[in-house]
Amino acid sequence: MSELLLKVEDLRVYFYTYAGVVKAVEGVSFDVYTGEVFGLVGETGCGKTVTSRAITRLIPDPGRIEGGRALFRINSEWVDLLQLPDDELRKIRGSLISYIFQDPSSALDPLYTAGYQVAETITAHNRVSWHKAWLKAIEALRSVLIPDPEARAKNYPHELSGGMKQRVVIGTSIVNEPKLLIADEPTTNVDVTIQAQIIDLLHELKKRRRTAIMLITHNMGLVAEMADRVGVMYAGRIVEIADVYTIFEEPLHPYTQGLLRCVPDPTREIKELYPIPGTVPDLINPPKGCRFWPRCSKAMDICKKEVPKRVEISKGHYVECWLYGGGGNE
Amino acid sequence: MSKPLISVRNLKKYFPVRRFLFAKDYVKAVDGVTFDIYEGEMFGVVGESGCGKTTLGRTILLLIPPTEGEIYFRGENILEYDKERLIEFRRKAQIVFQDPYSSLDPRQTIFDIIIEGPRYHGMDVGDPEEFVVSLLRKVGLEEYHLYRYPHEFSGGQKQRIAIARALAMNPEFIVFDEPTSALDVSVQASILNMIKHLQREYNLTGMFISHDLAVVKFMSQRIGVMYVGKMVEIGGSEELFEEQLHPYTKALFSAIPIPNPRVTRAKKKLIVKGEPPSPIHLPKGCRFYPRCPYAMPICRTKEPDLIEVEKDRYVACWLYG
Repeated sequence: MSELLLKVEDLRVYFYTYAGVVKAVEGVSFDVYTGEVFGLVGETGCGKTVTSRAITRLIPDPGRIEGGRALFRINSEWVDLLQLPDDELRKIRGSLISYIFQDPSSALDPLYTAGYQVAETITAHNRVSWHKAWLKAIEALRSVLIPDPEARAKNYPHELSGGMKQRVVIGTSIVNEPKLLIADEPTTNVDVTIQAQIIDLLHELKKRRRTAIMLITHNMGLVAEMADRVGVMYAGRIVEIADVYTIFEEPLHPYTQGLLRCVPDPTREIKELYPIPGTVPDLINPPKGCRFWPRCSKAMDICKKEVPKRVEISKGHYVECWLYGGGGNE
Repeated sequence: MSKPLISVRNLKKYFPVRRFLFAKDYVKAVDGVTFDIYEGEMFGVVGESGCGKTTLGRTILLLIPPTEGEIYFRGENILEYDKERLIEFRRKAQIVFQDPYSSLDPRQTIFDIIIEGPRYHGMDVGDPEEFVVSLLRKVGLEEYHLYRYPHEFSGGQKQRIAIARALAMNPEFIVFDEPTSALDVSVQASILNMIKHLQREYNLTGMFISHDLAVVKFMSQRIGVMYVGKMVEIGGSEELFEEQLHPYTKALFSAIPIPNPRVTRAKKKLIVKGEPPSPIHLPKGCRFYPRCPYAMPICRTKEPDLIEVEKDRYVACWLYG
């Protein structure tokens, strides 16, 4: 059985803008286990990226983490990443927890070679000579299937293609053998045949090193392909969590159902798609009660008044919706 | 089957890039493409970034002049049109661009954006305001949007405006160049539905360009697959999803994740190595051979032609003769 690695509880992140307080993440809780891929899906602006960055407090001004806990297991001890002193957290970032950011061009420094950036990550967390780090960096580049890594290590980012850059970024993030890898839209900027190569690489990583991967994406196909468990996020909250088969085959939350019905499935004959009516709410003045009710065809009176609590419907299947109780598991 | 509305023959578009001083190289964005688009159909074009699909769409509309080849509209070569007929062609053939943020003039109201084309062409539209309002309703917008500016709209709404602008010209042919790739899935769904309905209502012929295979399948009856400037396979969208002939098409189709965990995990995957070649320095012979798992000696020396292997099924690959 997999062990619990990360436990996020009631995370809240607000952005203090001139227009008002944007409640980007409002009470998010989820678990990540070793050796699994946890997919966090949702549309633009739902707070999935903010959630993932808040775990290691990578929230820029004017954002602030307003509350919650992010418990991370180091050996057998639990630490709250949100309370940890800065220097302690720095030791964790890039070693035990690392990121693959969406845009590989901005994740790499244009002034340093690919190899330098990987080797730098090694020396930042380990006491090794530069020469050893460089050799290890080349090995890391080889492991992410970069052809001729000795030569590529001396290339600057602009000399590499998009797919190649993304592989360097992945190389950088796995070189210290993280326990948790947070991949934020790792394939959005690459083509499908390159995407297939990267998916393969991440699968391999999960199998070989039992790395936990938190996959953040809007692509339902990618989730179906990679994730073991899925959290569906809407307007700053996770509205449903279940294993991947349950999410796709027996979704309960009206938003999950809607999201799945508007994605075209090329293996089926589809005459018509079913868009979700309305638009994503303004997170400065979110609707009272459930944030989805203005777009929900099954909205009831209570939905407009009170935020539904999380209910466990069956083992590991959680939903926040008044249709299924919504009063929490008492 | 109906007659071809657009016929493209051996179309090429090369962009010069300066190497040093006077020496020139060429980016062969479109490199000898031949196909037909039949009246009333939506022809899908898929391919990865840089394969030349956008250039192809723009060249067919003469937004950029082709380097070589012919383009026929109802059997007439549009490259031989005089000025008057060319202007008429530009009215009949419209485009909806990928990025709704940069394709609408920020200083014009929606009314001005939509009426500009019909005014230029001297079309009789009756009461201009009524005309524009009726178009806005067709694309799911309202009368009160008439005098607003583009920045007041969301991405999906802007794309609706761009579609209304194309429809205002009473077109016969529309190129949709990735019209939903900048939009969220829930917004994308409503735009795709709308395009489908409008196509039926106006009996439009169209070309739908996208890198998203699922979207192209939903939208089109026939699909052409492009790889580095070449059309490598053409077939009916059902048939193409049923069975792919060209190894690149196989790789492309097996690489798309399907939003169904059981299906997508059970699928056999053909993961090709490497990346597409640069369209400046193309390999001799078939341009897919360096990545192709089925490459034969002939593939390295001679480029295969696009041939009809079954009825309405075209493939450019030596495996099929």
